[in-house]
Amino acid sequence: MRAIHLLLMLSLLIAMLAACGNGGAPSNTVEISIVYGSEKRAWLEEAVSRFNNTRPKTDSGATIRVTATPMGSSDALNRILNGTLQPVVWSPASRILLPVANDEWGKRNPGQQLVSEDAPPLVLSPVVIAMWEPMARVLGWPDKPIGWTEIAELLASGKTWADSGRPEWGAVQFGHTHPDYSNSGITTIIAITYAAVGKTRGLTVADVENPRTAEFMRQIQSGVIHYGESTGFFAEQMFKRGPGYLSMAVLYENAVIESRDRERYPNLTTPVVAIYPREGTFWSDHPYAILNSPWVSAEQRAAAELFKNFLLDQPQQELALKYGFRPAGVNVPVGAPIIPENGVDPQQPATLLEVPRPEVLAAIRGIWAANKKRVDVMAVLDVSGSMQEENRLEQAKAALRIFVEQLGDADGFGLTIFSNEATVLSPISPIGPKRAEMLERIAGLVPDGQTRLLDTIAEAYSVLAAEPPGQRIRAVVVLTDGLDNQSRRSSEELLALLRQDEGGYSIKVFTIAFGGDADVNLFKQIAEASGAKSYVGKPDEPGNIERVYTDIAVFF
Amino acid sequence: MESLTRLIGIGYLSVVLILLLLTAVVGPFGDAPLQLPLGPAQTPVEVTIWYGTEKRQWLEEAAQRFAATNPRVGRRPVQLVLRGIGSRESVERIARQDFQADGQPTVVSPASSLWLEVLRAEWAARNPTAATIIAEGPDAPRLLVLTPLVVVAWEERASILWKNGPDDFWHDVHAALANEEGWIGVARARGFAEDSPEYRQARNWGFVKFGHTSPLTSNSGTQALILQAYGYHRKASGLTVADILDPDFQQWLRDIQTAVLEFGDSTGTFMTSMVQFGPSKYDLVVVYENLALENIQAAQGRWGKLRIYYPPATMFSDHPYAILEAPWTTPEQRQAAAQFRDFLLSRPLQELAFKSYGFRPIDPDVPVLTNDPDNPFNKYRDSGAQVAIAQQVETPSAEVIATLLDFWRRQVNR
Repeated sequence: MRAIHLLLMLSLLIAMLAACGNGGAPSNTVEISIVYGSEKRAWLEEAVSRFNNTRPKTDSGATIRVTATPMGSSDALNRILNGTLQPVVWSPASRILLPVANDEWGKRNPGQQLVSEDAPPLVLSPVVIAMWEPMARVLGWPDKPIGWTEIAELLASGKTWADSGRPEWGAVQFGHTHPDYSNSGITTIIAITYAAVGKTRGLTVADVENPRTAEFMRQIQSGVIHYGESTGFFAEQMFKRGPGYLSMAVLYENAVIESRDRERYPNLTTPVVAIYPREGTFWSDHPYAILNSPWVSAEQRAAAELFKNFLLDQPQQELALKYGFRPAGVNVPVGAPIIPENGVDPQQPATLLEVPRPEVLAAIRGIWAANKKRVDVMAVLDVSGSMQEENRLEQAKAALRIFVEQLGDADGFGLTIFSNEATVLSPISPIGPKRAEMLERIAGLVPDGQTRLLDTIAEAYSVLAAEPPGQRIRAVVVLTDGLDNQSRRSSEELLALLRQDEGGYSIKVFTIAFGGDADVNLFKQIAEASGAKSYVGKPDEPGNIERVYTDIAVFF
Repeated sequence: MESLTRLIGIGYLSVVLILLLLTAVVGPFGDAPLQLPLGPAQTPVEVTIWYGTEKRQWLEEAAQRFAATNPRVGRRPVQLVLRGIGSRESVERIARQDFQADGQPTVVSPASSLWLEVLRAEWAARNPTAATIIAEGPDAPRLLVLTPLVVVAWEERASILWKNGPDDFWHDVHAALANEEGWIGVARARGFAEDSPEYRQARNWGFVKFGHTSPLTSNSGTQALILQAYGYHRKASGLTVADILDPDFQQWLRDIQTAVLEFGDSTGTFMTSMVQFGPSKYDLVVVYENLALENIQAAQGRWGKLRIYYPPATMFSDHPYAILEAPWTTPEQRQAAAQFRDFLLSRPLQELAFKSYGFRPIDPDVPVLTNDPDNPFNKYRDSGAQVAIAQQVETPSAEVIATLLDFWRRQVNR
């Protein structure tokens, strides 16, 4: 009897071992990881879940599981190149980056190509200038064709809407994403460069390096409210805040269609229209590129092909149309919602701009970086005693140092710390001459005392409010782990202060609730009141706070 | 009695234990209780076909229908592996025996017989010991379908370019591409008044955008280049090396070729781009008639009227099906390949190629001149489709083609 018991126990034990042997993913599962441009998130997530629900199998009988992560197109490429990201498939917003990817990969792996430049498009959407319809009409839309040149000249002229008899709209406020992180940002600076030299193809490095091109770029950038990684964030800010916040932004056509979604934007009363620039534009064509990299196995490649075919099948392509994309599948006709009633024109664009060669593109990035709008940012850091827990202060210090390193020499940076009271360690001034000193000061901070949060934010805000709006991006970046227990002001008073200025050039207060007792909800309200973004930092997740500060840096 | 029960119990548990141990070590095996193979499995005869991508849709549908007939060689089932590879690339890789992940081909089916000549020559040069590569006798190459090279263009734009008809076809294309003002300049040159609707439209069209595939990798690109050479010299036969070396011709061709934004490798992808991106990307492109017929409806569903224009003289692609008598092919594979070939040449498949995919059938019993509304030439007559071909150009000598491609490689290649 005892032997049976023993055997029974052993069997159970081994059964348990067998069950947990492979973690959640049994050995006969092929994982397909995809990083993709976030604009197609809603469509792709639905398609992925449809695919996974069919319990797809490879020829050898292994179950295929697709996981998809949205990420800015350029950001994803940089991480693939430096080895911190190893997906099976990369689907950026457009193929503009494919030759760049091969160029850079080839430098590291001579003679090799990372992706096929013929990677098939999944869904299509043209790059457009999204504008409020009444503003577009002031510019002559829809009878007069409007181009990058007209927009650029408007921004460069320094005119406000008052010059067109509409003072209630304020300044001409413009938005595009950060070209180092986002596809629509790259296309914008290419288009601006073409407009500057009056060409639509054959752009040369000499064209780009002409001083007049740089001046043109600088003038247009002066109208920008801020940059940022996500085209979707711009669209949301524009549609939620209305014409007084952002006059126009470079978006994809599908975002203009989304603006008509009453459930999503119930308060949007002024319609948005898509302007297809007359000189030509670019397509966001979402190529599906399976990586030719050592970490992709033949089995994964075959499974990724199956998923590609699934995405190009009629049902998924019809779904894409529902989300406002033009289907890549030629058998799905373009129809509603891509109709003029939604502010878009299915017969446009009529022509395209030529994609410049990689060296010309590099030169364009160069003049943008030198002429982009500058930021004045006050970093406000909690050094109260509780920041000692979970090593929060040390983590925040390391992340803030990375943030400081990302600023350009002409960007203004100031540092304020607070505990029982606030201390301005360095008022806002160009970071260039004082960068080394700032890095050292940050490294030397130690935790002690209470949390005087709200007053400190208000003080930093007031200093920036003394600057004239529109000349530089003005921002406060505040991190805390605690509830305010020292301020005279209430949270309502602070929010009321922030809400006084609802323009796009308003001071942006980026907030980071970093563990502890931080009031996540209040921080969200503060960020939203100013048109900035709020973050919840995770002290227990290595690298998390660095990513938060880096994301904020992309707004500048 | 009790000891017997115990013995059974111990035996059973031991078996379970061993199975579980195995599972723990090698992972789960068998996911259905009745997966026992019934009788010895027959290894399939695999036939790998490298084909020019322009006939992808037809071949894929044909392969499915073929599989449904449960084809066998002896008792072994036949399994087809289709690999779409550009015509030139496929013959060059076979000659180099550079198979990569595509597997060793049993059959090569480029767009044109021209490429079989290239394969014979390159193979002989590289593999002097194995004299033949293309099977002869009953397995000698057979032509599957025919299709001429055409230009497709958006009618709205082409009606400005060819206001009085496309009589001076290639010279008109050249003048439009060389026009530094683009469409607005073409409209003016064609005599449209500044207040005409055509002129106002043309203001938004930018440069004239023309496309064909790369002559170095794709059959249609090579043919397009040959037609342009004939077009410049205004003839349809007797193209000489001196014609290609003529400096005026070379400048003329350079003008056209530098206006091509990108040279793709696959004619099919090109036609798809025309549907996807419409006139924003291309105003006119050189493609096969079958691709034009296959896609015309989809293009019009998106962008408006797309029209087929036949050059004054053109070339046919004849899609040979060549079974390879290569060191790596077996008699069974060749036999299976011949079965699929006969299937493709059967009347239902020839009709499918014609009616669904716009190829002109090889089988003379499949008529192209009918009143049948399914006949693509009837369906798309309004879009310019026509059965009659005015003239075919003479295929130039290998030397002339080599000179032309060499000029392109040195002077244009991007």
